[in-house]
Amino acid sequence: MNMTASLPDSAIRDLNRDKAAAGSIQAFLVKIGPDIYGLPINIVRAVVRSQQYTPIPLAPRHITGLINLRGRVVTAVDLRICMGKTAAYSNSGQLAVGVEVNGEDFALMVDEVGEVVSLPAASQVEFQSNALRKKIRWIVGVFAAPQGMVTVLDIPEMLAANLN
Amino acid sequence: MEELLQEFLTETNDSLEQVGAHIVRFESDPSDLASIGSIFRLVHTIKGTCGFLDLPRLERLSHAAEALIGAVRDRARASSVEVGLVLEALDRIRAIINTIAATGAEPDGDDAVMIAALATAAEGSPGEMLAPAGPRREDGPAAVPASAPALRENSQAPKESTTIRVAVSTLERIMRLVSELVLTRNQLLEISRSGARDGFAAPLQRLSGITTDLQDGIMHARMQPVERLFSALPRMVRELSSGLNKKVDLDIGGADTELDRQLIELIRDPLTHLVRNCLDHGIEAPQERLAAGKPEAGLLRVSANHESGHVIIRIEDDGRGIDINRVKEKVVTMNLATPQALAAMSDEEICRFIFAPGFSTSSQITNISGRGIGMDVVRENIESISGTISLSTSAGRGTSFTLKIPLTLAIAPALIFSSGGQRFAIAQHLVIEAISLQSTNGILINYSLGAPVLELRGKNLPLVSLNKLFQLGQFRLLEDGYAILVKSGSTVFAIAVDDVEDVQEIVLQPLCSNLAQLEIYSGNTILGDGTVILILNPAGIAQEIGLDAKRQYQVETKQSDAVPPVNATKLIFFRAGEGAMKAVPLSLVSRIEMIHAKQIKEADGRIVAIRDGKLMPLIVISQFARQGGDFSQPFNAIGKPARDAWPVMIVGVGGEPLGLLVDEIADIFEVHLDINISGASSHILGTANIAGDAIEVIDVAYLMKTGRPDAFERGHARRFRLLLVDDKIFFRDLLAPVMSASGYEVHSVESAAHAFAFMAKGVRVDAIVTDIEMPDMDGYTFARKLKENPLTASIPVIALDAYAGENVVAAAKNAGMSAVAGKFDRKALLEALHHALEGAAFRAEALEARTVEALP
Repeated sequence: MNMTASLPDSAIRDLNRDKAAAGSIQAFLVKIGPDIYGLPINIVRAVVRSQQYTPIPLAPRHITGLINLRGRVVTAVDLRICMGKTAAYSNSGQLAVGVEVNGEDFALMVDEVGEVVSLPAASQVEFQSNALRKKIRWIVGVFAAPQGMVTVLDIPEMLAANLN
Repeated sequence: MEELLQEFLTETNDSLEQVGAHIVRFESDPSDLASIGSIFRLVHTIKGTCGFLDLPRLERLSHAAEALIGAVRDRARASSVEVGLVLEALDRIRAIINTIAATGAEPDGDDAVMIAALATAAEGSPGEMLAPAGPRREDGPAAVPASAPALRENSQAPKESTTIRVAVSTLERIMRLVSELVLTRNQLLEISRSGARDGFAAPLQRLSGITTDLQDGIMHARMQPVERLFSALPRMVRELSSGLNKKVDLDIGGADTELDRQLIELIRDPLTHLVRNCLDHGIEAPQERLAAGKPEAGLLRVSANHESGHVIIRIEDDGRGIDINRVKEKVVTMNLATPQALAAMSDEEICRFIFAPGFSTSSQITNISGRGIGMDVVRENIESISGTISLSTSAGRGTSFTLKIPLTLAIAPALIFSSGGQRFAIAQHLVIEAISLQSTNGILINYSLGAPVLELRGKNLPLVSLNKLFQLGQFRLLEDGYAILVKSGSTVFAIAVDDVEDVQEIVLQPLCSNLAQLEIYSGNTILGDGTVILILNPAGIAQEIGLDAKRQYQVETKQSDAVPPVNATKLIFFRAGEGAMKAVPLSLVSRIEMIHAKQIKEADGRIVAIRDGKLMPLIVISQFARQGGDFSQPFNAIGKPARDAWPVMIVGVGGEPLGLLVDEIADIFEVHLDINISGASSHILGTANIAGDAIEVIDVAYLMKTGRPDAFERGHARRFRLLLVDDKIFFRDLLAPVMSASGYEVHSVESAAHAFAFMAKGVRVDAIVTDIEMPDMDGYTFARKLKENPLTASIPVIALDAYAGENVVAAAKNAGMSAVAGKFDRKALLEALHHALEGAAFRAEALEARTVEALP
């Protein structure tokens, strides 16, 4: 992962929200099972394969462990569990997206990675019910894209949330 | 332009900090041209740069200040009024600079009055005519001896040309890369050791050497002189002492001592607090000092030096010292210790209570060091950076605080160990020792309410199994592993791990912020082979397992002395004969029975009780006490006064009981057993001070040895009766001898039905070990049936399976079984039995209830 300084995350969040209101969001698409999620492009640093990781006993379930990524310690996060799925990623070699939040590095473990897309504000889908929001509070919005419905995640919010 | 401004602000702020010290020194020693010279240079630089950066207000002000400082320099002397004026001007400059830093522009305002005063002072003769300009400087200028040659040297050197500014983040990044380089170097060295390749060895050695030098170099780059901390002190002392109407001389030493920059920032607050405290509480008012025959001005000495890999910072005053009696009173009022406990403590130990939360002996609250919040915070802050704080005091002569700070937090030795197949580390300075838990080592693992306690050299330490705490790996016997003795505050406890590897220098990195609430870890690091490992935080573990945290600020005795934070012991108090009340630990007593006089007989020179058709030796405690251990005394000694029945405490759990006949059971309660006087008679362990009474604690082991020498020889092998249920004769024949060899009485049967039949005969069974897969009735059903019957419900049932898999464990638990052991895992089976029966033997609560009922 490169070490480029990034904007404060609150700013990124605001930026994303603003863009959601007017203009468009740049998102990096990932897949978990059949679901497509978008990661705000400005926090994405690299696509990696998680090597051998060190589990953290007594840590929340969605924290898979620590990975040594070229001398930097990266916290591996199981995006499946964050999204309320029960089956956790079992082993190393899992595809992961490296993100930098508040100067800390995380590897978000996912099934597949896709491309970067621009999601116009006009394509944002209104929630039919609050069910999704209740289940997953850290989302920027849901957008209709050619690839399918894309749920754009608020990663800093997700990482700050207590998932226990 | 923006960058230039930023540069200017940072530079100026740093210089301003140093200038405060110079100006006070100049005042006390007007011939110190170096000091005034450096002040002049600073103000001159500010003035020059202001013009360039378009900061007109700052320029005018610094110009006026420069004129006065220049005049003072030329005269080589300054009045206190002039010092006051210069300080005020510098304050103003500082305020303006802070505003620029915050808003990017100069604040509005007019400095005409100050500029005029500065100008008049610069032109006029020094002193008297300007008195009104600086009134607050009049009331007590503290004379500060010039005692820090290092400061002087620094100020003379033209710093600008030899140093450059580097962003901290850049330094951190280099630091990380160097760490990585070191790791890679280590890997290369490892490879070269395994297969010698001639061409590589020499360059590799050089690479290795250079890497080490580079590591040292970057470590050094992070170091800064503590001068950064000390430079603010003269002014602070000067202002505080005049506010308190005290006279204080400040003596600073060792300001060139270097410390990691991160640590310097972290000890700034504790140091400030300690200095304030010395001024406020330590040093007396001038009249008081004169009356005590001391010089009018108090002396405050702040010094730093290197000592065995640490930086020692001392803050000493020659004030009134800490009033031990007031501390004692306060300790007792706050319920931190009993008067008796205090009596046994040294003055130094008692003084440590001032680090307890909310502790203050000062009757008056001042705005300087407040009302006693603080010393505990000071201690916490220092301990959080792996430092220690200690103090010594002498009534009327002064107090001295000593801070011991590690040179750096960045690289520190850590003990690497493994548990459940995963490696962990603990910072070496928190580790007391690591020992093998094999019983041949003179180590005993006891169980207190199911929790292991390590008995080591006469001390009992809580033992935490890391495998259990972290739910790691397979069930293992504690005895196969190691214990790491660690300290958390003044609490010492042991962590049981599988294997201890080695000590390595590690670079500690914090966990990501959303894991910060996991206080059992202090961070992570990358080892030489590239694996990431977690670094454990003993204080967090102590908290996790609920070790009494309240006692942490308790007196820390000598470091080498492991303080056992033993839980309170439940004691049975009883009377036997004349003399002091006696006591015996409840855990050693399996039952208390009333034994009828008719059941007590004399046989073969011994007193025995006939009970359930068997003979149980009795020791008459009252008689034992008088006759000094010879219990072959005639029986009639206990006959008076005539009684129908006697309370007998039965000790020696298992098949070979021993009765202790006493006069009266008095009470049961929980106390911290602290034996002050060791026993004069062999059957008395010692005399303990319990709630103000002297209580004799009986040595049950000694009585057991006398009363049941044969049983004692067998040690732990208690004569429990076990029932082994297995349909295959192979396993019955395999396992029965294993258990018999460990001292159990084993009966084997081939089915659940046979087991019921066996028990129906009225034979007492202490535990049942049963196979799970059996025809007719399987182990789970068998266990459930046992639990349904009140007569057998309390018998622990241990399941046997080919291997103790997770689902088997769950199902067994569901059926009310107490444990599962693999059929070929002999140790696990014995350990499980030990656990189950230990619990059964010491059903403490039930016994207590029964005993209390029996009380008059």
